[in-house]
Amino acid sequence: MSLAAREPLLLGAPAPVLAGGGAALAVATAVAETVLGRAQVASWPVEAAALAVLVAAGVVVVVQASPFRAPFRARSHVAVLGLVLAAAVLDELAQIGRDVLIHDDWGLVVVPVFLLVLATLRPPREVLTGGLAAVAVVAATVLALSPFLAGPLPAPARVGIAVTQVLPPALAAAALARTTLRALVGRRAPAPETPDPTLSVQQEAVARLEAEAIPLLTAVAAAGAATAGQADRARAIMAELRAALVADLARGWLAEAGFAVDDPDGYGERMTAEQRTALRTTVASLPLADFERPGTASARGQDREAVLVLDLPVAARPRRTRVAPLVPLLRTAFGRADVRIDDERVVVEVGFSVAR
Amino acid sequence: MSGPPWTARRALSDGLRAAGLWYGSTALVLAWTTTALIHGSPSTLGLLAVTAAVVALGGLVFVLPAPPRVGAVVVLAAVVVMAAGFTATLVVVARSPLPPGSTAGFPLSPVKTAMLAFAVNAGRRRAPLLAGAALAVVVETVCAVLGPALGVPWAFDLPEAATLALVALASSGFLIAGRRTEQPRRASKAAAFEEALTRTRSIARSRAAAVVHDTVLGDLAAVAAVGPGRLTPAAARRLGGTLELLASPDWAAPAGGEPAAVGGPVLAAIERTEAAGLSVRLDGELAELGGLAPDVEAALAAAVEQCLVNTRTHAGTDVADVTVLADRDGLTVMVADSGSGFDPEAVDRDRLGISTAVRARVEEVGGAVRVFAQPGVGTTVLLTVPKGGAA
Repeated sequence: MSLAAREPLLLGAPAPVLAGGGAALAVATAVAETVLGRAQVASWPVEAAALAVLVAAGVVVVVQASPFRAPFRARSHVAVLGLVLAAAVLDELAQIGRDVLIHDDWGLVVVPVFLLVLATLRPPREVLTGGLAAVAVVAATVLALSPFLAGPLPAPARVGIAVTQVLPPALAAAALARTTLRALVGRRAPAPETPDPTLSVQQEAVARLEAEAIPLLTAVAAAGAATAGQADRARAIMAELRAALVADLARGWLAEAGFAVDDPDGYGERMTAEQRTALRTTVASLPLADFERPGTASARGQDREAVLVLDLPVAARPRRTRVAPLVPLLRTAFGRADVRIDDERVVVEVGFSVAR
Repeated sequence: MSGPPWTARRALSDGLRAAGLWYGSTALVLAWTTTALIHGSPSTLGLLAVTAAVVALGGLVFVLPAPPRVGAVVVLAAVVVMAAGFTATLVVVARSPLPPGSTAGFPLSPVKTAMLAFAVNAGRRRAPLLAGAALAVVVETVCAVLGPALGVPWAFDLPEAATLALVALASSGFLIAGRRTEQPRRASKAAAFEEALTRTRSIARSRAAAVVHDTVLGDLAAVAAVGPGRLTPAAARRLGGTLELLASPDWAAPAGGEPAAVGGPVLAAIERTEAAGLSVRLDGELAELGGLAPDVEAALAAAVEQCLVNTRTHAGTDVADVTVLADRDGLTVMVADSGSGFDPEAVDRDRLGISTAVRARVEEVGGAVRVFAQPGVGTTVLLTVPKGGAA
């Protein structure tokens, strides 16, 4: 599991900021170094291609790290890292014969930036694998091009300089992902303390019973006998009380939250606590038209698979940045989740499996 | 000793600290190793090992637990130690047989980036960025003043600048993005509270409904059944007990507080139904009933009693079988009769006996209920409970 999936609100939502910031930093660094080290550029078309590929890597990571596209998948990881490494290789190729200093080549400077950006988006083992693959590609490239590079350094020293640029951030990225994830999995935030509702529930029940049942039973107990009218009344009260208790027990969490519920098979009641909390968080984070009656909830399913749709009228169209953090939250809790926004409503659709 | 309250943000802090340590220490080791490949002079390498150790020592200062209110002093101390280590490194490599072409040359540049990586450990929020910027300013001042004097001209260090920007991104990116998610994170906390409250309220309601079902509804049924006339002594006693119970302050509190009857609450419940006229055949590993947690035992007893009451009142038979089966994790009690049975698909949802007095109670302690019934054949209810109580 990635950090973004484990803590979607704290580590998933920042992903676009980090991806955007990292991509901008990488491109700015590459352009700056190209200008500063222009004397080392042997082929401007290849250098331009390297920059273009780097920009493509930045675009891919920014687009794929968007919360609306969560989760960030392995193929995106491969695509981003592949493009960055291709840019680094092209940058080295563009300097053949004129490259004096290895360690200031922008290809070796931008790889660490992307390795650290990707650290929160993919599982630690995959982050480490990607980092080590990057080290291997960089080392092999420098070794292969070493005979064509300017300067007196031996090939192993050039490879050492290149690896010094890439291996530390590769290990750091993996350490960031692994240590944070272990800390998150190992320790959970304490469960919220709730007041004991027994007394209030008991008072509700007594209030209902005191209306009719208790006076009737008290009168019968005092007399030691029942009249025909009391027997009839007992029958009627029994039916009413039984119906009220059944209605109470059948009242699910969606109804309690104020939704108009259309869920004939009770799928909504079979969600996990995490799923219910994710939906509650989503509902509470939107500018609803009426928080007491947030909207309608309808669930349909077959066997163990179900889809729940929440139709939530809003007071004003919410900004995408306000909704964005909620999408990875929902996608972490549910197998599938989509959020649609328009001027009058937000529609949340989630798919999930229930236990038998 | 109890530490500060744990939060997910602290976990991220731990992760950034580990990343900084790995980055900085690996960069120092690789810089030294590669320098060995370039120079090969034992005296130079020995001196560089000492200077690298000083830089690493400065980095480790960031890791030490800083007492409150002296964080800035610790950061300053680390900056001074690392700057001293870097200055010594500059002097050593400048006087080596193969000095770097500039202050941005190898191995000076990776030593600078290692120091910036260590700076990620400088506390929380903006402290890493401030420490990193302070390091960069101090180190570049040293380079600009001392480098040319030693024959190493100053040059702009792009990798250092990029690493400093990376430190800024790492230390403030989460902070900036964290502000954007402040509202949903507050909502998430409130949602977790509401979820827990709803769950406990639902359990309390089930419990209260079970008590009302077992007492008030039973008494109303008795009054309805007796019609005009005197109550039987048993019905009068039961009615008095109900009114007394409802007047008590905690009648809906969790079960399990009553003293155990001889033979345990389950057997006591069976005895009560036998006293009401039902014949119960017991079989299986009855001794295992004694190994249950008190709340599980109480819930199981109430559920078994309700199953037997259902048999007596609905099945049209006065004989039932109760069999106890145990395995490593739990206990299954099978309550079976060969009475009139029913069609489970056609059962009115109004069957409170199963939904509250049986299912709700058993599920509340982490158990499960399965009902097998067929019209004209009979009914079997399987009550499975964990041995150790609810998880």
